[in-house]
Amino acid sequence: MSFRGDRRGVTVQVGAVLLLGILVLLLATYQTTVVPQQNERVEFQHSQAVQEDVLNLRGAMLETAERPGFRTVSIQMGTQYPERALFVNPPPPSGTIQTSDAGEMGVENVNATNAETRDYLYGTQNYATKHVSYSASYSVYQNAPRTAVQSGVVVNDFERGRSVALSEQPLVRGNQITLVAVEGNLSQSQVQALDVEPRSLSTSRTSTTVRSTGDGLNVTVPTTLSEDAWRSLLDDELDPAADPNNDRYVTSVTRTGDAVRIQLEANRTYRLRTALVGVGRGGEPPQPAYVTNVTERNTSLARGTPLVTEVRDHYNNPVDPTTYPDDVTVNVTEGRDLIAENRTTVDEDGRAQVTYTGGEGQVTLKVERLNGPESEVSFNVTERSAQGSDDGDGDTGATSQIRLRVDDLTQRRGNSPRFVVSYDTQNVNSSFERIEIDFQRTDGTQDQVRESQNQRGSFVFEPGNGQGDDYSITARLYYSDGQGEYVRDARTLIDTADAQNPSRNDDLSENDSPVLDTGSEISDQTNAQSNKVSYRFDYTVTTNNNFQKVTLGVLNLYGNGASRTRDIASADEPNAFVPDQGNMDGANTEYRTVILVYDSEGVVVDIFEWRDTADGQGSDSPP
Amino acid sequence: MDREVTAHPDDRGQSEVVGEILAVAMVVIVVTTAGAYLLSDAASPDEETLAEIRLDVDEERVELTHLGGESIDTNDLELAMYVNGTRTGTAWADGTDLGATFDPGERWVYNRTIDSDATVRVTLADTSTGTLLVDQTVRPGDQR
Repeated sequence: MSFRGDRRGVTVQVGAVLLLGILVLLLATYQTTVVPQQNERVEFQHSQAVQEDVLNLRGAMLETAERPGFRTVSIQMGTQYPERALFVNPPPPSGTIQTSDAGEMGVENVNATNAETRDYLYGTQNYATKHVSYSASYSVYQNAPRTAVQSGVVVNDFERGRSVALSEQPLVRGNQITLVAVEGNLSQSQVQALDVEPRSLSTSRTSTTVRSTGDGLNVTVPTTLSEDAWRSLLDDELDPAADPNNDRYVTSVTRTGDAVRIQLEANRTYRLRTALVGVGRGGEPPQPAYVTNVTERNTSLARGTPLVTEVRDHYNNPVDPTTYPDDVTVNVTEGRDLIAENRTTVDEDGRAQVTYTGGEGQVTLKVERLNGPESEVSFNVTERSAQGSDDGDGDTGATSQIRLRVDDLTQRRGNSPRFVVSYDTQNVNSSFERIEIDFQRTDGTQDQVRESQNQRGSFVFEPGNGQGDDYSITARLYYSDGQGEYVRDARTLIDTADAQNPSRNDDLSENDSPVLDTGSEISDQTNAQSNKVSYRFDYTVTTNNNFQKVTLGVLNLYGNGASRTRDIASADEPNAFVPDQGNMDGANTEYRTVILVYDSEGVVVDIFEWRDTADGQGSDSPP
Repeated sequence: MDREVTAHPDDRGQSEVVGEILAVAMVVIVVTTAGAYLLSDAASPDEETLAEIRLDVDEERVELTHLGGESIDTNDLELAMYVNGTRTGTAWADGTDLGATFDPGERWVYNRTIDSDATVRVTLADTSTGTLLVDQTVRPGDQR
C-alpha cells in the first residue's frame, strides 16, 4: 500500500469547509450590521410618521375645544420590520401613549368687562390640565423623541432636557387668548394602531371680553419648551415696548419652573376663550359655576318680553344641563311681582329666561345650587310703552348717552374700505371711564377695538380689503364703580362698505360747530372724451373757531371707475380740484361727491353730498 | 499480487473525481448565490445619516432645528446658503456654536438681515456619509 497517492490530502474537504466558513461569517456580519441599519431606518421613518399622528391629535383637540362632539385620530403606535428569510428580527417596536398631570394653566390680572361675569371672572383663574405624550421603545434608534401635546403645542422632547416645538402656539393671537385644558386618563402600550378620541367637555363657542389690570395680564401654561423657544413661537405677537397702537400685545416671556409665563399689555381689552377637552377614560362636563346676564341689566322693557340669563361653567361657557342628572334651576328671589314665574330651568343652550309682566323695580335671579354673588344676577327694569321705539341698543332717544356716525369713504375698485367713525356722549357723570369702538366685519374675519378717554372724538378704520362687505360698528360707553367698569350705554351701526353712509347716522353737530356755507358748490369738470374724471369744489366753512379740516371725496359707487379723497386744512378754498394731480378714469359712471367738515375734536359735524354721473355737466350747492 | 494491488483502486472507478467536482460545484454555487444576495442587499441602505432638520428663515435670522434622528459631527457638516442665487459664503461656524455634535433638539441660529422678498436657498450636507439633509428654497416673508 502506498500513501503517495494520498499526498493531496483532504484539500477538497478543507476547501469546502473554508468556503462554508466564509459563508457563515458573511451571514453573521449581515445579521449584526445590515439588519440593524435597515431596522433603524424603519424605526426612524415610523418616528416621523407617528409625529404627524400626534400633530393630527393636537388639531382634533383644538377642534373639539371650539365645536362640540368628538373626533377620532388614529395613532400608529408601533411598526413592523421587513420580513427576513434567513435572518432574525427583534420583536416589533411598540409605542406608549399616556396622559400625565401637568399642573395648571391660567390667566392672572383679568377683569371681565360685564359686571355680572366679573362676580366670578376676576383676578386669577386656573385650569388643571394634562399633557398627552407618545413614546416608542425602539431596538436600534436610540435618540427617538417623546412627542407630546402640551397646552396646545406639539413638542419633541429629547435627552438632556432639549425640546423643540413641532406646531405653532394657539394661546395668544392678537388680543385673543385661547386656553384648552385636557382631562381624562389614557395609558396604552401596543404595536397595533390605536384610535384616540378627544371629545368636548366644555366648548368655547364664543369669547368672553376681559380687561387686563394695571399689572398686565399673565397667561401661564405648563411646558417643557425653553424660554427661547417660546419667544420664537410668539415672534409675531411680541411687543416689548407695549405700543398701544399695534395688534401685538405680548410684552415679555418668562420661564418659571415647569411653566412659561406670557405677559400681555396692561389696561387693554382681550377676548378670552377657555375650553375643556377629554382624552381617554374619565372626564366629566364641568358643573355650573356662575350666572350672568344676557339682557341688559338696566333696561326698559315692554310687557311680556323675557329677561334672559346664562349659567356658565368654570370655563366661561354655557352649561348643557342634559349632561347632569338633575335640572339646573333658577329662582326669582327678588321682584316676584314683576315676573310671571317664580322659578325656571336652564335650557340646553345654558340660558334661562323669565317673563316680565310690567312694573318698575329690581329683579334678582339666583341659581339654586350655587352660592355667593356669582350665583345671582340682578336687573333694574322699567316698563316701556308698547309703541316706544324698539331697536335694541340703536335707541337714540333722549335717554341715550352715546351717539355715533359713520362716514363711508370706501374706494370700491381698489378694494379699500375706509370709515370715519365719530362719536359723542351726553349726560355723562364723573363715573365716566372710557369709550370703546368695536369695529367688526359681520362675517367675523375682522375685529378691531379702539378706545379713548375722550368723551367726543373719532377714529378711522381701514380694514385693507373687503369692500362690499357688511361691517358692524359699536360704540360702548364705560362707567366704573367701586368694583370695576361696566357698559353704561352702547350704540351700533351696520354699514356696507359701498361708499355710501348708513341711513341711521346721528347728527353730532353742536351750537359752536363749524358750518359749510350755502354758497359752496361742487361742479362736474369731467372730460368724457379723454375719460378723465374731475370735480371742482368751491367751499367756505364758518369755523366758529372750532375747525380742523374738510375731506373732499369723489367716490365711484359701483366699482367701475377710480375714487379719490383729499383732506384740506383750509376753511376756504374756491378752486379745489379732485383729483389735484394725476388722472382718474371712470367717465360716464355714477359718483357720490362729498364734503365732510370736521370740528377741532375731529368729529364730522357737517356734510354735503351730491350724486352725479361723471359726464362733465352739472353742479350742486348745499340747500 | 501486484496486479491485484494496481487493479483494485481502479475498481472504484470515477467516484472520487466526481465527488470532488460535485462538492466544489455545490459550495461555489451556494457561496456565490448567497454572496450576491447579501452584497446586493447590503450595498443600498448603508452609510446614510438619518436625521430630520427643519429650516426657518425670517427677515432677521436663519434657523436650523434638529427634530430627531442621529447626532451629526459638526466637522462633517457642510452648509451653503444662497440669497437670490448668489452664494453668501456662510459656513456652519458662523452660527451658534453647538460643540462637537449637532444633537436632536438643538437649534442653530445665524443672525443676518434678509429682505422679505429675497429668495433664500439653504443646503446642509453630512460629508461623512454624503447625505443631503436640507435643500430648501424659501422667502423670509412667507411665514413657515
